[in-house]
Amino acid sequence: MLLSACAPPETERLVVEAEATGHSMALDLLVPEGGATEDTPVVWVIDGYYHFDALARHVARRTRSGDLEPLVLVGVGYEDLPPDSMANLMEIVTRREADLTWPEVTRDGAPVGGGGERFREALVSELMPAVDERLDGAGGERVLMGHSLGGLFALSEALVFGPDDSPFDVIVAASPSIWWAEGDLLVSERLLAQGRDDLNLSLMMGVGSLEGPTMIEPVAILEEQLTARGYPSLEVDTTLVPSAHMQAAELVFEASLQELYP
Amino acid sequence: MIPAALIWCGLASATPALSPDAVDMGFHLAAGGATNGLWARVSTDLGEPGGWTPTAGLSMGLFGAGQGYIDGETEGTGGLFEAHLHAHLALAWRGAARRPRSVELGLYGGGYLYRSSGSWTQHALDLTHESTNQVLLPDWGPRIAVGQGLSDRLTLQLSVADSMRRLSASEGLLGGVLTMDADAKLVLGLELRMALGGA
Repeated sequence: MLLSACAPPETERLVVEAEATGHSMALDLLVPEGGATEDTPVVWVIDGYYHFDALARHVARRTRSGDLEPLVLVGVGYEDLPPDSMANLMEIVTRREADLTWPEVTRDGAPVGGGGERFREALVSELMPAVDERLDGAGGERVLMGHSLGGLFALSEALVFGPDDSPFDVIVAASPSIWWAEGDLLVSERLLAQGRDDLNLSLMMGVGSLEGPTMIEPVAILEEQLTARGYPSLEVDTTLVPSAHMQAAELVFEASLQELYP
Repeated sequence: MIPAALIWCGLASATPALSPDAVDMGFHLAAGGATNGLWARVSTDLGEPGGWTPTAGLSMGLFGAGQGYIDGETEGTGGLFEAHLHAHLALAWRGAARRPRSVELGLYGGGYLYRSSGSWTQHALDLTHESTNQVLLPDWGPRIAVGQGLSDRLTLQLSVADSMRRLSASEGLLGGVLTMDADAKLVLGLELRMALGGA
């Protein structure tokens, strides 16, 4: 019984050739024992190659002990870049910077990043339908989780790409890289606010207390900006976790799931 | 340093066998960047010079670092302060000559107060925010020191310790990526050891 509790959970992988990005995407799935119902939350995790395994273990363990509502976990990664070699890990760093950011910036005279819209198109139009099909249409609330540049992407989904038509009900941004493009996301939030009196958004943000001001302060600024709007349908929850940057991901993700689905 | 000595005196009064017989003081540099600062330790050798002896000690370190950058319309500044308190257990070889050489192999463990403060500004948007964070964290690792006697009471020591706490130099303070993982960081020390009591 103890061995069973410690064993890695059974997961499965879907492979989707995403036309929007031109990449072969790997979707790692953890589905509750007995399958998903129409109420089962579906939690999408960007940068699955970093976060899926640890989070899947956590979800399986907590679900088994009855401390967490059964949910479907989906990790988004690259099928052609398994994180099993230094070369692939370096390529992942480059590709995720290209895919998860918006807008494009110039670095050393060359354009960098800016593929967030294409990645969002792949996510919404190609990856989500593939998972919906696997679940036979089951699945309730949809959550999008991202860390660092993935957190920036999650915030971009909420404030730039799909503030009024996002398929996600909850956005979780751990240590989001709001500093990208000189804090352009803060400009986007201001533009979004023009002429708007409501924003239907449930946003959870978290950042590590050992991270530098480049990570911590913009999160506080964004929370202040959003809160000051007084949107009736907006929920913003920000936490400071006692960790450095990489560890903040798991702490924020796990705390968010616990709060959402106790 | 003074608090470390006070704590040691408290311990020593409770356990007379641990009366300190040496004080080490020096400058500690985190290899590859991060926080640097002053370090002091009081210690007791449980055996006699001229061979290997168990030794126990209590140290305190005060470290700091600061950094700033400008990237287009954004500007960040930050600073760190750390106050460490460690217990040491080691095996030490100390020569019996007039200017004895020494070698110390040991482990240390304890914790530290980590305090960071910083600000981030977006000039074009006229946005700025600053905050201060404080947290208690564990720290432990191995330590090696070699010494050359300058006199019968003074020894110049070079030490290397592996710390679980140090920042990653490649990622930097304001890059926002501070590591606390098993990728431990080396801490180099230049220390002066002074024997207490009668020669």
